[in-house]
Amino acid sequence: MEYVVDTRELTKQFGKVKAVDNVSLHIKKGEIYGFIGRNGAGKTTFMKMISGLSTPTSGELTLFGASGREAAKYHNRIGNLIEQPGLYGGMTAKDNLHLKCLALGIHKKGYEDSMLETVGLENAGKKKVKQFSLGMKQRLGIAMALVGRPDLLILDEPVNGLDPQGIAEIRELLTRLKKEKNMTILISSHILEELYKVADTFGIIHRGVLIQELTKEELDEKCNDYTEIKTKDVETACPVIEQMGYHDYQVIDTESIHIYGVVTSLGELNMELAKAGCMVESLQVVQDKLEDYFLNLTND
Amino acid sequence: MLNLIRMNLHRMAKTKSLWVVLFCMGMFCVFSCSMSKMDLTEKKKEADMVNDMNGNDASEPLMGIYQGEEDEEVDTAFGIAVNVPEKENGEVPTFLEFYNADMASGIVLIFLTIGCVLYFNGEIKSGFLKNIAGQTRHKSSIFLSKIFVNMIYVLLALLVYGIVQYISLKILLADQFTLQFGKEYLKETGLLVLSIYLLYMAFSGGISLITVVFKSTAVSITVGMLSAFGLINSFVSYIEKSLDVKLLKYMVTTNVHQMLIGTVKKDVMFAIGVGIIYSILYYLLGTIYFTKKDVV
Repeated sequence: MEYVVDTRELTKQFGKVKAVDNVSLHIKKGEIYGFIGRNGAGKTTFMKMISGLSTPTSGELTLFGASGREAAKYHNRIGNLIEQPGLYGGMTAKDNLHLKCLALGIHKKGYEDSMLETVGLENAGKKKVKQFSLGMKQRLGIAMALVGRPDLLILDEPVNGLDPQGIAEIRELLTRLKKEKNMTILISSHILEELYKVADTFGIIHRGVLIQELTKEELDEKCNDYTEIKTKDVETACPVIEQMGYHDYQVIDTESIHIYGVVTSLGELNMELAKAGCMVESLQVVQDKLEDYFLNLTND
Repeated sequence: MLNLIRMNLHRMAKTKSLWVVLFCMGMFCVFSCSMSKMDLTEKKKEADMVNDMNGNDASEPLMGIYQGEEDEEVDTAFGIAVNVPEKENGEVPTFLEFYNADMASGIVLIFLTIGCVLYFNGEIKSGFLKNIAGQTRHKSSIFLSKIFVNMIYVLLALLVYGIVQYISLKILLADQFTLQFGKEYLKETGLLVLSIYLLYMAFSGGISLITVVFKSTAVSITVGMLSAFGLINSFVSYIEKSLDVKLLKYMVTTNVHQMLIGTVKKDVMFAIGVGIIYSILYYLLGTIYFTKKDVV
């Protein structure tokens, strides 16, 4: 398997605190890797180490097949947008891009304009970046990361501050970059439903530890459908559910019960509950999505 | 490295605040020239009065006026003072004497402090550094390219000051200064300007080091200002007296204040040495710190 990023027990320690604790993560070439974790879980620190902005305390980092000192040579193939977009407020979007082009030795005419067009900022004109909305800054940050057409793109919360249309556009852009340029993308986001739509593999980090790494297929298998019953009379409902032969169920709180596995007839279940005098407020099949899965995993 | 220098030069050209600093420095230069004119007028009046009373020659030197002599005592006073050049025998001072007097006063250091802090901190504060630090093979080259561009900025500051001062003096003191040239004269003043340039670079090096370590505009500007105003010199002077050691003559700002026309060559060479050593030390420490530290 060809990995673009392969870490072995990568650790970053600040004083006595391990921000990233023995993380062994694998990102395949050409895939979109969704990195999930709560605030302060260690996502940004990990991304900084991959980008070459931060030095690991211990562990091994392999980039594009090269490890140790050799790996550092490949940092120039990594574009990143980590935390806030790093931009000069007093300059225009084109000037900011021009600066990065100069730093990377790109002197192609019209290159900056094409980058602006890629992220939908072609009309930014002479507007100073400090006058940009949060979403515009975010788009420009992505454009900055794309300068030099990196092979690996690292995006930390790239859809922060974007409107739904903007989020959809970024999603399309990422999918296009993956398909057309075979770009590998490591992305973190708090909008897990969005991440679910674009990512091929997921890594879940909690308190600096990578607790799970799974493909979308594996996630789908693990995300069970369940039937949710909302009622204020949980005590009456439980024996009825048992009598009907559904033993894999869970009382979530005083007003809801989850039945796992297939419920053959929702109508029949509803009728039996009614017969027993249990007033059902709602009865529906719910798909356990990435968000629920993540919450279950990281619930302390 | 060349790409980074090009980038930093472009950034310098596009950063308004750096031009504003130079503009303010120019304005201060005009103010300084007008003060010089007032001083010279006042001194001329005093000299005329003394002459009227004693019937002496007008060219006789006055007490307390700069004579271009080597002063053994190192100035550790807090604040900035420009020694208005005035010569014996009624000779008209040259433009470079005026220029050197202002350069040695440390006025420019104040503006260089602001410019240097804004320039070195801009990339860190804006977060732009994150865009390039990872993709640059040697992180040290980012800092080294900044030093190179800062050298140009210091040179530009000296040049701007010189041009503005010349124009101002031409307007305000048209017949009271001369633009003297000559091989020997230029050699002497050239060495003096070189020493000032190197001392200014060393000063900027210290400020850049503080900026990179503390990443705080307020702290760096405050330290720089206080150094330019001589507070650190006063402090070192106190230590010198307490411990009975010679420290002041190795200070950058002390050497700046001594670089006036007429300073003996030995002292100028010593100042050049101080400038080079401190420049290397500060920039080397800055580069090491910048390279080793994570980008935040």
